[in-house]
Amino acid sequence: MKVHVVARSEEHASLFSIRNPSIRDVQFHCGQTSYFRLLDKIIADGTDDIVCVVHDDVYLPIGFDIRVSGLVNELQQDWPNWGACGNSGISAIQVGYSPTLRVRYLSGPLGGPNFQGRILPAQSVDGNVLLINSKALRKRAVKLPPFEGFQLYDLCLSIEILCAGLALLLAPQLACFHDSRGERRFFDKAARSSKFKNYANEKVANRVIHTSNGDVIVGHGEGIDIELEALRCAAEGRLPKSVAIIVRTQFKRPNLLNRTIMSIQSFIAAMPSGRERFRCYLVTDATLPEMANLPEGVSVLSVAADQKSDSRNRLAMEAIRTVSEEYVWFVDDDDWLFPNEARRLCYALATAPCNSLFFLDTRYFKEDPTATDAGAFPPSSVSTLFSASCFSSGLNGNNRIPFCGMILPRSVVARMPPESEERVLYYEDYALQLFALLDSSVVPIVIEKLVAGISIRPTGNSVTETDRTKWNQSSAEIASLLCCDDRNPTFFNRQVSGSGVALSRGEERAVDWARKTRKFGKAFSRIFKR
Amino acid sequence: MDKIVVQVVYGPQHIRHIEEVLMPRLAAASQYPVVLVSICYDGHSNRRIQSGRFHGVDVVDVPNDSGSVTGFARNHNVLFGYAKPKDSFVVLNPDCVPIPGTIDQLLKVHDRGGVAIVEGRQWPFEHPKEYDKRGLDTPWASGAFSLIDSSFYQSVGGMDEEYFLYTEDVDLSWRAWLTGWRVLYCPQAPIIHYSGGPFYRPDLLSNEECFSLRNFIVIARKFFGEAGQEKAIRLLKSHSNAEAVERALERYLAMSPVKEFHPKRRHPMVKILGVNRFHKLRTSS
Repeated sequence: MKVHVVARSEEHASLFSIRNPSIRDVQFHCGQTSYFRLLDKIIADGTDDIVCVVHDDVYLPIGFDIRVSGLVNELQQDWPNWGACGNSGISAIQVGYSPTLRVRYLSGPLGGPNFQGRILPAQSVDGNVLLINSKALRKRAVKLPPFEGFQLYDLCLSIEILCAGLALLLAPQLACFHDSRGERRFFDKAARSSKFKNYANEKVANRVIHTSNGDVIVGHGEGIDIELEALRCAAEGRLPKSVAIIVRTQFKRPNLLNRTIMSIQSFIAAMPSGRERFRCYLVTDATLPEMANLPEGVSVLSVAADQKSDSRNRLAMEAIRTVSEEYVWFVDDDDWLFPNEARRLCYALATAPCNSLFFLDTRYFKEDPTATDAGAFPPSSVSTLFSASCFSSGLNGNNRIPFCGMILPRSVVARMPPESEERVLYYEDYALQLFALLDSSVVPIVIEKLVAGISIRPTGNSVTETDRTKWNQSSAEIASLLCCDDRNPTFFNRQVSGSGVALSRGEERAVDWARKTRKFGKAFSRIFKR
Repeated sequence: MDKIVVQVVYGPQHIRHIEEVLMPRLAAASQYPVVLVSICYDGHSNRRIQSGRFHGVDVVDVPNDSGSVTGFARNHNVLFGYAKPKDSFVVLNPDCVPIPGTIDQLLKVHDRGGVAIVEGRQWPFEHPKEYDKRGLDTPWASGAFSLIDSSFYQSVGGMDEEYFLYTEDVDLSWRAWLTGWRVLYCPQAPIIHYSGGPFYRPDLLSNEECFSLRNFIVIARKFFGEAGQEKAIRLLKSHSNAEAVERALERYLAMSPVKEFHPKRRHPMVKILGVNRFHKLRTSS
């Protein structure tokens, strides 16, 4: 594949060749005055279906061309709607243990990589290394605005690609060293120009556009919603993921259960096409009552009753082992889902890496069933918000994510040792969360949107039980299994700080920890067998 | 009463929800046979709800032949003109889910007499506006789920189509109070309504913010004359989203002059307490 190098001068072109001797098929573009016009020209030139355009100050690794070749195959197969790919930019989903939208698959004077190994959907990509699907762009008549200079061309390209309904992606195969600090003042001047703002207002509805150089405030416009459009375009052509929405119930509160099921139906109905990949299951160890009106699409999993112990963990594990969907999502039989972000969630599932662990915002609602004769819909007041971005405090022993605030990769949690069913009676959700988080294949994804409401009533919630015996005993089991691994004694000694500094170190250690998780899993199993 | 008419104005994105979630639960919302009359606000779209009998409900979808996107008030007026409900009818948002018996609760309150509009209680985000716990009087009733008296609606010429979207429910309620009718709130009539403020995004200018800021000036002018208009504009100047306010002003000035509604008439329920604040807030449910 030909690599187009945008060189400031002949001298810079020569330096590029010296630094990158393995890149043989090169076309230099020297002395340009407009990166916008140049990209238009490269794209419009019908010779190549896919082009690679790089800055003259990048160092490409040996084997770059082989990696790019492999990337092209992967894109054509797995991301059929791809328009362009970069190695850094703004992701369309928050990823990582210290969740961020800013993804860097490169090194440079401003820092190194912050993520690993996965192609991600993007809202915008940086221009230091661009892989462009010229054929697709030509077909959709993608054209950059007629601006001069070298600032914001990559942001404009990103906007034009999304407006054309094509996907933007971030790929590790394009990793390089970019020897540039950038010229912040030039970027800011261009971003504040009325020319750019007018352009952005025509194309984009968002008031703020996120970039690697910071947020660009453009004011409200009339165009696409970059966030959702980025996800939608990336999801197009990809197989939707399947999710089992599982409700553990003993039918003790049929009104509330009906409410839960109704909300799940609303959620599924709000999905874009592919919604049939979401399915609702009731899992129970109780005798089925007359449920003649069980809505279509709701399946019942019956589990043998065990009078000896609390069954909530057992029901969860039985459901995980029985269903065949790729993901599992537990919703308690007195809680509910909000359908408002169903579309976003569906696209995020389709575009996130395999074995992602999704964290979602949830909220308490204080309900007073004695206030009126209101059945399952008593007056409620909004209470505590559980933000998805706080999940990492769970790695320090503080679980901030309710069960309905996470969607778990089933193949991972299905490996949970069966002994945990009897030992961890409460906090079973936390145990599952930790087990998944500490698996090296799992990628945390954060979606800071409210998707579930949690009913809090004066009685009937285990979370408000005054006798904390079961909670404390379960905590002991989880503490033991996590703390008794001799290979990483300091892992839980860190204090989580609000500044994120400790979290950054935590991210490194979490990744390191996760790599050793096979050993951890064996330790987990050993502990429960004692 | 031989049947209850439920009017729904929807967009193409609501069709699945209406057919799979709303409709199956509508019959149980009342002891009376329910007729659902609906219209798609997007006159460009060829996607529509199917007419027929489904889940025990007669469904009649009225075509939108305008060739454009039409407003909430205009659409409900069209549906009212088509269905000609005898005693009363229900307006229902397409993202709502009816609860068993909830419409009958509204009817019970309406049957007190002299009642123009009865609003149901939204769940889980209940509107925090004031209402009299005994008499149930409230300044205005939301168009998301309310029962409206047909003779009242006829007498005032239906909803005011100038608003296009938002505030027409406040306008209708005020015209009720000013012409001797009552507007009541029925907490015993819940409706599931998942939409609302918690899901608005600060980085986007929502339809609600866009239209309701403009319509705030409209309603102030219509019911309080020039003084009301000036006061509304003054209040808007301290709004947090200056850009949205500027747009609202531009759009207001581009409208035809607002026709006043007896601006000298006053009623304690007809009041403006702040930007788009037409009510006191309840301190507890």
